[in-house]
Amino acid sequence: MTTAPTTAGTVRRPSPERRRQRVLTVVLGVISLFTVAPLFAVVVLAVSPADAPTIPYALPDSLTLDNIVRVFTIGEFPLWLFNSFVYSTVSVIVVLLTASMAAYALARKRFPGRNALLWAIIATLMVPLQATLIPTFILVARLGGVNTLWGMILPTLANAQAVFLIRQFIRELPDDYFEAARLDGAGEWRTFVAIVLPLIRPVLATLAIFVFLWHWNDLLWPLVVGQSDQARTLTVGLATLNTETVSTANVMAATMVSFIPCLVIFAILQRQIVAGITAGGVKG
Amino acid sequence: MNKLLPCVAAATAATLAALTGCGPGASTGGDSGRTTVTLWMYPVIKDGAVGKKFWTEAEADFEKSHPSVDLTIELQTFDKRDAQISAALAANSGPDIVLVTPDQAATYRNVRGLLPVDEAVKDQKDSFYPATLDAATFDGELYGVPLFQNINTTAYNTKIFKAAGLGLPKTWDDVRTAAPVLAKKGIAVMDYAGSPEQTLNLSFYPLLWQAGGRVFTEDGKDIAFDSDAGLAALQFLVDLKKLGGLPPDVATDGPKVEGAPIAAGKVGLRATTSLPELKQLRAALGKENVALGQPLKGAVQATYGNPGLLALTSINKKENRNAAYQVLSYLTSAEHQKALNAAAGNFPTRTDVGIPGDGPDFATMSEALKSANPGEPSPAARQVMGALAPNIQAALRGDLTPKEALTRAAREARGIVERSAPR
Amino acid sequence: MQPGKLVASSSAPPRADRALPGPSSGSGSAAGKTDATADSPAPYQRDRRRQRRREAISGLLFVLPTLVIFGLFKFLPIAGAAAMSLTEYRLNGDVTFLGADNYTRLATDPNFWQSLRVTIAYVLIFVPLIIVVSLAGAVLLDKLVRYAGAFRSLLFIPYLSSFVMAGIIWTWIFSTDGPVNAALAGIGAGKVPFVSGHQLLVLASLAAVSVWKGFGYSMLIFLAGLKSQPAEVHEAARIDGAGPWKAFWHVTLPLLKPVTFFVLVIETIVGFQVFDTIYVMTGGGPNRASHSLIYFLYDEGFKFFDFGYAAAIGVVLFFIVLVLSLGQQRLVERNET
Repeated sequence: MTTAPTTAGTVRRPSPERRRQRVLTVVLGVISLFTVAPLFAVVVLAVSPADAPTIPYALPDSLTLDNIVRVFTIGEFPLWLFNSFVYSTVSVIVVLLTASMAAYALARKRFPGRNALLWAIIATLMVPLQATLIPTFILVARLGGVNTLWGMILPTLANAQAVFLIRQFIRELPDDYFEAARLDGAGEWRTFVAIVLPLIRPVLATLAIFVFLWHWNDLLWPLVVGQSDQARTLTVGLATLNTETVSTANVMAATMVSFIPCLVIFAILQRQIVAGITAGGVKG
Repeated sequence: MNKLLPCVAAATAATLAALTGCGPGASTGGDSGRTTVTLWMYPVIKDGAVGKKFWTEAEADFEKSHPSVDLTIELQTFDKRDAQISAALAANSGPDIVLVTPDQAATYRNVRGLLPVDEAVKDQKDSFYPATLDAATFDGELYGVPLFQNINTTAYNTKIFKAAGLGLPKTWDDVRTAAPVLAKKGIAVMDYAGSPEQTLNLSFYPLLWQAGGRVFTEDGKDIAFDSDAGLAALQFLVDLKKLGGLPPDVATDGPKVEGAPIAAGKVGLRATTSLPELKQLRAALGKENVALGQPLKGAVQATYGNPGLLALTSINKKENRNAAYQVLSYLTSAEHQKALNAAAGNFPTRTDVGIPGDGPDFATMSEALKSANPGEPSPAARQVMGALAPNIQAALRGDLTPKEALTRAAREARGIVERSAPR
Repeated sequence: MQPGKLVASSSAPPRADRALPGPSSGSGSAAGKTDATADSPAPYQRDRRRQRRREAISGLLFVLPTLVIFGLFKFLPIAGAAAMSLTEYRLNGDVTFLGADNYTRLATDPNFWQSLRVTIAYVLIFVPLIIVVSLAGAVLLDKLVRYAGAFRSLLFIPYLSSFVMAGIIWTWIFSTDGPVNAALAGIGAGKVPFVSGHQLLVLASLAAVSVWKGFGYSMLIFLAGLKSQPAEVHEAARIDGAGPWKAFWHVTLPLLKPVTFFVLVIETIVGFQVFDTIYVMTGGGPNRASHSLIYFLYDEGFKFFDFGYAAAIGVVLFFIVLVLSLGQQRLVERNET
C-alpha cells in the first residue's frame, strides 16, 4: 500500500521517499536493538554451561547444547507439546469463529438486548482472572473437566477481547458491501462467510496470533485444571522444572524450546495480516 | 437465513464433539474396586529427571506391597502453588495427600482443608524426632507426617576473610567487627534475602531466634516479635546495612545463589545455606574457598530447619482413608526416608535413620540440627510475614527506625491474629 | 424469544446504536436507510417490520454460541465471585454470610488504599507510554516498504516471551551490577536502584518491563487498523498537498479512532490488573511500593485463604475500571464531533 510515488523525484538525486525509507530503516533498527538484546541474553544463557555463576555479557568461552537437549528428555515432553498444541489451536479456531459471528451481529444487526450484551461482554474483561479462578474451577470440576483438555479449553473460549476487537473493525467497513449483498439476495450465513470473513482477515490473523500465544504461554489456568502429568501443557510442564535451585541456564533453555513454536506460528500468520489487505483492496 | 440455524447448530455441535473427544488426560479410575490415592509431590529432589524416576519407582514399590491401593504421585511446581492447592481444595477435586511446610499446614488446617493423621503413625510416633512432630501438631492433633528435614546453616567464603586477615565470624559481634573492614573493599559481610516474596524463616526469623525472641507468644494468641529481642535483631540488620555489611540490593534480593552477589564473591557469609546451595556456592567460588560452619550466635545459637510434611487433605474420601494412612506410613518409614534422603540430600525425621551421607558437611549439618527451629506454625504465620516483611524493608532503606518499623508491623499483625482466631 | 417481545423492541428508538461504545462513524447508516422509509404506506411498513424481525432473529442466532459460552464460563463464575464477596468462604465449602463486612473492612484497610495508590500511579505511567510506543511502532512499520516483515518480527518478539524469562532477564538488567548501571557508571553516574529505590522509580521500571513485553500486542492491532484503511483516502490527502504530519493528524489518526478506543480500554485494564511483572520482579516491594491491587487480591485469596475478602477486592477493582472505561468512551465520542 505504501508504494513510492512514481511521479515525484528526478534522476539527479535520490528521491525524498527513498531518503525517508532509509531514515525509517535506521530508526526501526535502533528500536529492534532494544527489543532483541534482552533475548540475546536468553540465548547466551541457554548455551552456557549449567554451572556458570552469573549472567554473561557476551558468549561464554565454551558453548554447550546440553541444556537444550536435556529439555527434550525430561518428563512427558511429547505429550506436553501435544496438549499445548491442542489447547492452543482448538481455542484459536473456536474463538475466531464464534467471536466473529457475534461481532458481526453486534456491529451490523439490531436485536433486543444488543447493547446490554455488548457491554456485558466488555465488562467481563474488567474482572480480574484471579477473582474468578475459584468459582470457574469449581464449575469445571462439577462438570468433570479436571485433568481433561476440554475442561481446560471450554472456559477460555469466552474471549471478550476477540468479540470487542472484531466488532470495532466490522463497524468501520463501508456499508456498500452489505447493501450489495442484501440486494443480491444473499442469505445471512452466506453474507457472513463470503463477505464479512474475507474483509476482516487482517484482524482475524492478528487475533489468531494473540489467542494462540495467550494459550501457549498461559500458566495459571492450565496449572489449576491439569493436575496430572498427562494433562499438562508445555508451559506448565517446564515450570515444574523451575525449582529454586535449578540453574538459570536450564530454565532459559526450556524457555527457548517453548519459544520456537510461537515464532513459527507468528511467522506464518503475520503474512496473513498483509495478505488480507490486498484481498480487501482489490474488492474496494 | 434459513441456512443460518443449521450452520450455527452444526458448528456448535462439532465444537462440543471435538472438545469432548480429545481428552487424553481424562483420568477415569475405578478399575476393579481398588482404592485410589493421589499425592502431590514437589521438586524436593532438585534434578527433575532424577526426581521423576524416584517417585515413579516409589509408586510402583508401594503398589507391589499394597495391591489393593492405586497410588498416583503427581509432581507439581512451586510456582503459583498456593493458587493450585486452594482451587483444588475449594472444588474438592485434587490430591488426597500433599507435601506442605508447617506454616502451610497451620493455614490450611485453619480453613478446614486438612484432616488429622495421628492414626497413620500411631505405633511409630516414638521413632520420630519430637521437634518435627511438634511442628505439625495443633490442638493436640497431628496434621502432617514429617517426611524429611532441611537444615540451613552458615557458609563462608573463606578466601574473603583470609585476604582481610579476619577469622570466620561466629557471633553477631564478630560479624559487626568484620563489616566495616570488608566494606572498604566493596564486599558485604553477610547475605540477606530481603524480598517480601521470601519466607522470613530464611531471613529475619533466624536472627530473631538468635536474639532469643519469638514471632508468636507461646500460646499463639498474640505476636511477640516487637520485643527487645526483636528490636535487637532488626537493629543488628540495620547497623550492618549502615556499615556497608549487606549487599546493595538487599531489600529486594531473593535467596537464589546463582547470579547473586554471594556467587560473584562479593559477600562473605550466608547465614542460612542449604545443602544444594552449598554445592552451587562451591561450583561458583571454587571448592577450597567455601567452608560450612555452625549457625550464628546472638544471645543464643539458632537457625531454621524445616520439616516437609505429608498432610491429608479434606478431599480424601472416607472409603480411601485407610489407604491414605498406608501411603503416609509407607513413605515416612525408615527404609523409604533413607532412599529419599540419599536422592535429595535432606535429613531424616526419624531417630532410626542415619544422616544421608558422610563427610564434614553432613557432620556439620547434623550438628546444626540441634539448634534448628522448625518455624513457628500459626494459622496467621504467613499473613504476619506479609505484615512484617515490608516494614523490615522500610527499616533497611532507612524510611523507618527499627522501633517504628516493628511497632507498625505489630499493629498490623495483631489485627491479623485477631481475625484468624477460629470462630 | 417470543414474537411479541421482538415486535415491541423493534419499535425502539431507531438510533439506539448511538449509545454503543466507540465512535459510530460509518455504522448505523444501514439503520438510517430503513428509517428513511418510515413515512411510506402500510405495505412497506409491514414489509419493514418483517425485515426487522428477520434481522433480530438472525442477529440472535449469530450471538447464540457466544452467549452460551459467556453465560456458562464468564457470567456465572463472576456472579459466584460477587456472591462470595458477601461471605466468609472457607476451603471446605463452609460459608458464613457477612453482608457488607468485607467491603467496610476494605475501606478501613490501609493496605488497600496503598495498593490503590500504587495501581493508579502505575497506570498513569504505563498506559500513555505503551500507547505512544505501540502507535509509533505501527506507523513506522506501515510506512516501511522493504524488510517490513523482518522488522515487524523483531519488534514483536518480546511479546512471545514468558514472564518467568522476562523476570530473570530484567531483574539482571536493572540490578546494581547489571548492564544499565554499568553503562551509567561508564558516564560517571552513580548506581541507580531501579527496583529497590523510590516508589516512582520502581513503578517506572516495572512499567518499562511491561511495555517491553507487551507493546507488540497493541502495535499489531494498530497495524491491522492502518492496513485496513482505504488507500484512496491517503492518496487524496497527498494530492491535496498534506505533509506526512498533517496527513497523520488529520487523516490517519481519526480513521484509527475505533482501534484507538479498543487499545485504550484494553491497556487500561491490563494496567489495572498488573500482576505478573511484579510477581517475578519485586514481589510487591520494597515496602509495598509495588503492591498492586491484584497482588493484594492474590495474597489475600491464595496465600491467606480469605476468599471472600479477595472477591470483594475484585468487585471494587471491577467498578473502578468500568467507570474509567465509560469515561474513556465519552471522551472518544466527544472528540468525534
